[in-house]
Order: sequence, then C-alpha cells, then structure tokens
Amino acid sequence: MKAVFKVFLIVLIFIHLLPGSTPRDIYDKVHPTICLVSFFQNISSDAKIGSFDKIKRHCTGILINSSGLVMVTSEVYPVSLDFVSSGGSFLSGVPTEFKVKLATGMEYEATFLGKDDQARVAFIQIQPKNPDESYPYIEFISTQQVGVADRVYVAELLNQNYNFSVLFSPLLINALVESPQRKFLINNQSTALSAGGLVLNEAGEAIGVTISQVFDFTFMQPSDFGDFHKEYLEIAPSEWFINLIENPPNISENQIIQNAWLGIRMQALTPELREYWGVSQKGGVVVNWLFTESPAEKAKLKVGDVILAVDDSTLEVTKDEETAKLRNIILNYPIGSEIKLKLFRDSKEIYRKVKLTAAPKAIGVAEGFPVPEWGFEIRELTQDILYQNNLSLDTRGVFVFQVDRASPGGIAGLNIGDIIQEINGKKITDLSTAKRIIEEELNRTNPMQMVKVWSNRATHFVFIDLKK
Amino acid sequence: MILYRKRVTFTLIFLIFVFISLLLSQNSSVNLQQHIFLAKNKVMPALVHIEPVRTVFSTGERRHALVTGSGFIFSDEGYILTNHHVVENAEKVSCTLSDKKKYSAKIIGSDPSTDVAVIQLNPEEFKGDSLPYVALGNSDSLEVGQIVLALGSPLGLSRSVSMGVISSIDRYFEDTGRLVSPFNLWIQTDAAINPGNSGGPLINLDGQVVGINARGVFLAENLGFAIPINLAQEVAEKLIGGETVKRSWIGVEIRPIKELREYLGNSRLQGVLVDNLDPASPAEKAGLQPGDIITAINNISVNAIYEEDLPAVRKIISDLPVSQPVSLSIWREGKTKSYNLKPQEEPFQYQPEFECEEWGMVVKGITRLIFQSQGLEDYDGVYISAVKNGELAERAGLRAGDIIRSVNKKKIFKKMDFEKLYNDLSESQPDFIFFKVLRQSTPHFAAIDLRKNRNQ
Repeated sequence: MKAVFKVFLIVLIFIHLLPGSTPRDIYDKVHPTICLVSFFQNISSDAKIGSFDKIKRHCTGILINSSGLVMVTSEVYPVSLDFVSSGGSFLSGVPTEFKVKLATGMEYEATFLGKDDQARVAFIQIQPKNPDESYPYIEFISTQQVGVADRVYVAELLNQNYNFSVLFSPLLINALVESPQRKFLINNQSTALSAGGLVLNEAGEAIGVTISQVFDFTFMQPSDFGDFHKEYLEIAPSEWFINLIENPPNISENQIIQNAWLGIRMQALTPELREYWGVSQKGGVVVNWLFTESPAEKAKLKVGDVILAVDDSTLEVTKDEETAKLRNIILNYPIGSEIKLKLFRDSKEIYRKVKLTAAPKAIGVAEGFPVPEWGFEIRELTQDILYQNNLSLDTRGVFVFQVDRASPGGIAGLNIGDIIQEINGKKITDLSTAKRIIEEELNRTNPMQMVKVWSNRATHFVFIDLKK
Repeated sequence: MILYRKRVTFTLIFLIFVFISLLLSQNSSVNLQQHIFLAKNKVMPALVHIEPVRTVFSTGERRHALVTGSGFIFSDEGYILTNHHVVENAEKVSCTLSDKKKYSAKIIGSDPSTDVAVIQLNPEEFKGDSLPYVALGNSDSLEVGQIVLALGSPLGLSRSVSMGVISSIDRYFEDTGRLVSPFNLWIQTDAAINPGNSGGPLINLDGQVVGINARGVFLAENLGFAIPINLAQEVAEKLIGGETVKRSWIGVEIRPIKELREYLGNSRLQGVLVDNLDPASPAEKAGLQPGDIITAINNISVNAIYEEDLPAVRKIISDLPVSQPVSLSIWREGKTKSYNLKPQEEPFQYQPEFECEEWGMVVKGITRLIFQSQGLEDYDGVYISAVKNGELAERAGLRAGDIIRSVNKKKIFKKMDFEKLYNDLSESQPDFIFFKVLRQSTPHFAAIDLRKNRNQ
C-alpha cells in the first residue's frame, strides 16, 4: 500500500515537472501555431459598376492541422450567406489574395475556403511550396470544465506599428454567460488587432478564440446599470467551431455552410401574455409570423402558437432577447432533421413534427450582372429579399445591388434595394431574362429607357436618360 | 443785348427743366416710399401677434409649450388667417393686436395639407370695438419681380415689415407626406420670412394680401415661401362654413409625362402618368394600373408635362365630390378607354393625438407618412406615437411606432373606434387588456395585466 502511495507521489511530482506548465513554456509551444494572415477585402464599387474597391487587411490566424489549415475570424468576409445568419453589408465581395506568414518568417499564398457566421470563424488553406510540407498546429479541447476564475492565456497579434508581434496575456475568466449561447467574458479588455486570438487554459491547451462584441439592436438595450459602454473581451468556447475543423465550409466548391431554419418571426411569452392565455409553463416563444414555404408553415404552425419545447429542450423564454435560444437550438440540428415541437394553442398543449430544411440563400452570394452603361448592377432576386419585404415568393424581378450615384441610372432615381420588374415594357422575370433584355436594349439607340421598379412597397417608373 | 437776353432765357429754361426733372425723379422715389407707407398703414393695424399654448407629448408625457406666430384679421367678425402649424394642437390661443389690445381666440378650423388655419377673436371681448381688417388681393395676377412686403411679429410683440420681390410663383415641392402642400405651388420671395413671421401676410404695394407667409428655409438666405391667398381664401371659406376640408381620394400617385413623351417619341402626348396605386383604393378597384396615362377626368382634359403642373391636377382630383361617379379616360398602350369609379374620403386624416393616461401612452391616426414608412397594407389601426416609461403600456412591451390593430379582440379601424374602446375599458376595468399590434409589418402581441396594477 505504502509502495503504491510512493509511486503515486512520484508520478504526481513527475507530472508537475512536465514541460508546458510555466507561462513561458506555453508561449514557446503556442507561438509557432500563430500566424499573420493578410488579404484584400473587396467592397463593391459604386464608382465603377462591376468592380471592387480593394482594402488591405490583416488578422490573427491559428494553424489547426498539419496540412496548413488556418482558422481566422469570420469578419474577413462580412456578408450574410443565408437568411438566418447575421451579417454586415451585402456589398462586400469574397476576400482575395490571402497570404499566411508563419512565426518562422516563411510566407505562403493561401486560398479562402469559407466561413460560418454562427461559429464566427472562417477557414483558409495554405498552398504548400513542397507537396510533403507539414506545419505546426494546435488542437482544441472541450471547455466543459472551464469556469469563472480560471486562469487563461490569450495569444494574438499586435498591429503593424509593433511589427505584428505576438501579444501574450495571462488573464482570468471573469464571467460565464450561458444564454443565448455559452461564452466567457474578460473584464475591461479590448483585443489588440481584431477578433480571432487564441485562448489557452493553464495547461496550455487551446479552449477558444476571442470574438468581437456584437450588440443586437433589435432589442432595447437595458439601461438599468448604465454599463452599456463597458468593454469586455468575449471568448467563443471551442464547442462553437470544433466540428468545423474536421469539415470546413468550402465556398469555391459552392458548399456554403447552410443552416437549418424553422421559418418564423417570434417574440417572448411575457408573464402578462402567459397569464392572459393561461399557459402553465413559465415561458415560451410566441410565433408572430410564418415565412411562406418554410418548415414551420409546412408543419401547419399558426401565428399565436406558443412554442414550449423543442424535443427535450424546454424553452422558458420570457424576454425578447432570449428568443435567440430557439434559433440556436434549431441551428444545431443538421438540415433534414425531424424535430418535435411542443406547442400551446387554444388553451391546449399539442405536438407538431417539423422537418427542418436549409435556410434560404442570401442576396450577398447571389449571381450578379453589372450594367456599367446605365450605372447599376443587378442580382438574382433571392428569397431573403422577398421575405424582408413581405413579398410573395412568386414575385418576379431582379434586385438592384449597386448604383453609381452620378450615372444615368443614379440620376434617374434608381436606388439600391429596388426591384426591377419591367424594362421598356418588357417583363423581367429573372436574372437571365434581365441580362438578355438589357443586352438587346444596349444594342438599340433609344436614348430613354423606361424601368418599372418596386421600391418601398410602391411601384415607380424610373426614366433612364442616356443623354445625361 | 438781345443775344444776351436770349442766352439768359435759354439758361433759365434749361434750369427750370433740370429742376423739374430733379423734382420728378425725387417724386418717383417719394412715390415708392409712400406706397410702402400706405400699404403698410393699411395692413399693420390688422396684424395679429398669436400666442397659442400647445399640447406636446414628450416621451408620452403631456406638456405645454408656449409658441408664437403671426396672423391677420380679414373680416369685421374677427376672423384671422394664420398657418395650421402655428395653432396646431393649441389648447388656447391669445392674440395681441397692433394697438396692444389682447383678446382670446378660438380655432375655427385648420387644414394641415395647405397649412391654412382660421381662428376667431372672442366676439364677447371685442364687442363695441370696430376691428381693423385687411383686403385680400388676387394671387393669380402676381408677377415675378413685383415688389411685396412681408409683415409679421417675429420674436415678440413688436411688428416688423420687410421688403422684397416675388422671386418665383410656381415653386413646387415634392409631396413627401409632411407639411408640404401637394395641392398648390408656392410663392417664393426674398422678403425676410423668419420663425414667428409664420402666418403673417405677404402684401402688394396696394396694401392687399396676396399670400400667407409660411416658411423660411433653414440655413438658407433670402428664401421665403408663402401660400397663395386665393387658395387660402378658398380653404378659409370652407372652414368658416363649418366644414373640415374634405378631399376626395381615388388612390393614384401621379407624375409628369415629360420623360414618357421622350421615351415614346411622342411630343404631343397629353395627360398624367400613374406611378403607383394605393392598395384597395377606388382607382385600383376600378382596374387602373401603374403606367396608365390619365388624359381626362369627367371628359375635361388634364395634363402635367412638368412637375409644376402636378398640384393643379391633384387639386382637380381632390375637389371631385365624394361618392359621385367619375369617369377617367385612360390611355394604355395606344388605346384610350374610359374607367368609372367613385372617389372616397381620404383614409388618412389629420387628427390630434389621443392620450391614454391610464395605460401611459399616446396614439394618433395613421397618416400617409406612417402608412408609407411602416410598409402597411391597409389603413386600419392607430399609431402609438409615444409610450411613457415605467407605465402599463411600456411594461406590457408596447413601443412607440407600433400600430394597434385590435384591443381585447375588437378590431380597430379608425382612431375614433380606439377612443371609444379605451373609454369603455377604462370604465369596465377588465382583468386584461390584450393588444395585437404590427411592429415593422409583423404581428406582435402584448397584454396589460390590470389585476397586478390593482394590487399595487
């Protein structure tokens, strides 16, 4: 027994002497896996229709496998890809000319694979100079054991003024937020360069990445503490993206990560509504709107239904900000899954089975057609635009994606977001018809074009005067 | 000697000539000055300084504000013309005349779409006094370059006169649904029109009122705009007759055909182009389509080649009698066809805000601006213009900008329905008030739990 104890002690001491336990050791181990990523962001130009304004950007990259897969923040491509993803301006094009510079100083060309807005990460692939080249990398582990007051290290790159050196900071997790999605907060910190810094636990194992704060302005911001301006460093735990490392999204193969969606607009079941309707569960999600041909509509959900649970997850939502919980639950199901919803309808609890489908593609990734002669670019009319404008899905037309302000089209009053329905009396059904008709019209000499558009829920006629 | 005398006579004649011509030239400037004095003296006594106490709702809270404006008496019964925006939402109005006498006044009527209002001095108060009043001129005979005076009482009681010329008589402002008259062109002048001058008269050198000063342009100089007096007079007569100014609505948005003429290569095309149709409007129901050209209304041709021609056509439409059949001649793809419809009263009507004190919110009727900006599909409901912090409506999750569609399952069509329902519910005090609202065109539910309130 004593001998066993002695062996145990020796093993314990041995474990403590293992390399990787001092901050310096951790830094040395992690440093080679951090790389500098540079690229050009392409913003659709309104000065030269069909071209891009290129802006050079840098960000921190993390090598995540031996063949040179690099993970960066999804902000490198700030466009929403589908209806359920939050995204920035749709005017941004796919970023190009990626380069990855390793800690050794070696620089490689790289290609952009794709991104996932829910996981907040994007992936790029190093183009090896020799076919059998292998790269240092780091593996992410589960964060179920990580909690408040745990010591962590954050490794990220400083900006150009500091030659992109690694900034390595020991920090303490100050808060753990569970809803609507689990994440860690560190007090009074701002990231040095941008999102995408590597977060390690005390043992030097990778547990997450830093993300930038996002405010959801769809809800009123609470002013109870007057702490709206406080800065936190937010950390996305590895669970957000760990599955993507095995199978990263690939835009070039047209495999945009598609997310499952239910197809509703929703609000929280407030205590007052709960009392009024006589719902026994403490909270829920009220269905406000059903998108046409969405899984929810096909499953015959109704406006006014209260969703109480999805399979085994009970939804005790009482505030609108928490409705994102339902969205996150749905996003975690693979496309095609069948889920069981527990609903409250007409004072009764009922169940409905819903087969989840992929959320519709967003305008940001739709096919485009620039018409520099008239000064605008059009795109295929995607479902997200129809949904946003409460238009029926059989609406025909093309979407005005970009307008040169001083062009004939711009002067005539054509606006980004207009839907073109007719050109010179000819009906525009889709992008290919639009292309054909515009090409025909470009070959004619008529100096005045009459374009019928749908904008702000009203029809308008726009007369494009090519003499101007 | 004779020669000398001749020369003297000649010089004398020359001197007399110079003297007379000098006198004459002085006379003409005396003339202008006298004209200004004469005109001013005719109008100044009837100029009124107006101080309305206005109800304003700031974040749902009822407040009072004292505002000032100008106006002028135009009849011995004490009727005063001023701007709608001067007396808008006024609880009481006090008027000071040029002789510093103060009277109270009541609002006879107010028309937001032409920005014309009529108020009347309290006859009890001026009984026995003979009131000064102005003569109204003819704004149709104005000419660009004509000298005019703008009178008013800006920044307090003292009266002011400024002079300028008519800069333009056909100024068109695009109808954006705000305080812009879609039914008339404006008189533009470089006579100073400043805040507080609003409602004052614009007069010609004969001392006749040709316009009501309505607006200056912020951050611009020498740009003032006045409402033509002929239109103001027409509106005033209706208001005094006890009518609200009712306008017919057929539901077409129109635009000029200048570009269409070029597009079609047809320079003789006449009419107005239908740009958009209001949903469920008489024109839509009758089968009109965007792109149609209205060439005649009741067989009288209409024509708008340029933007400036639009207000006249809009006025013809708005003056059509409500519910009387109208025939529109429509040109579509080269063929003219006649369409019959019955105009209705406009679904958008100016109504003052209504305070729901118990619930802590303020509502108003749906205006065209709200209809357009909220992307509504029909005209039913009331608009929540403010919600008071910490009160029942706010706690129930209602927000400014929501459109209330039903309360306790009763559909709300007009503001009147809502007011009645609110008063009924205040009396019956049910346990819950349940709202269906539209928020950014999406239905939303909210409930007030009055039981909780009672237990507090």
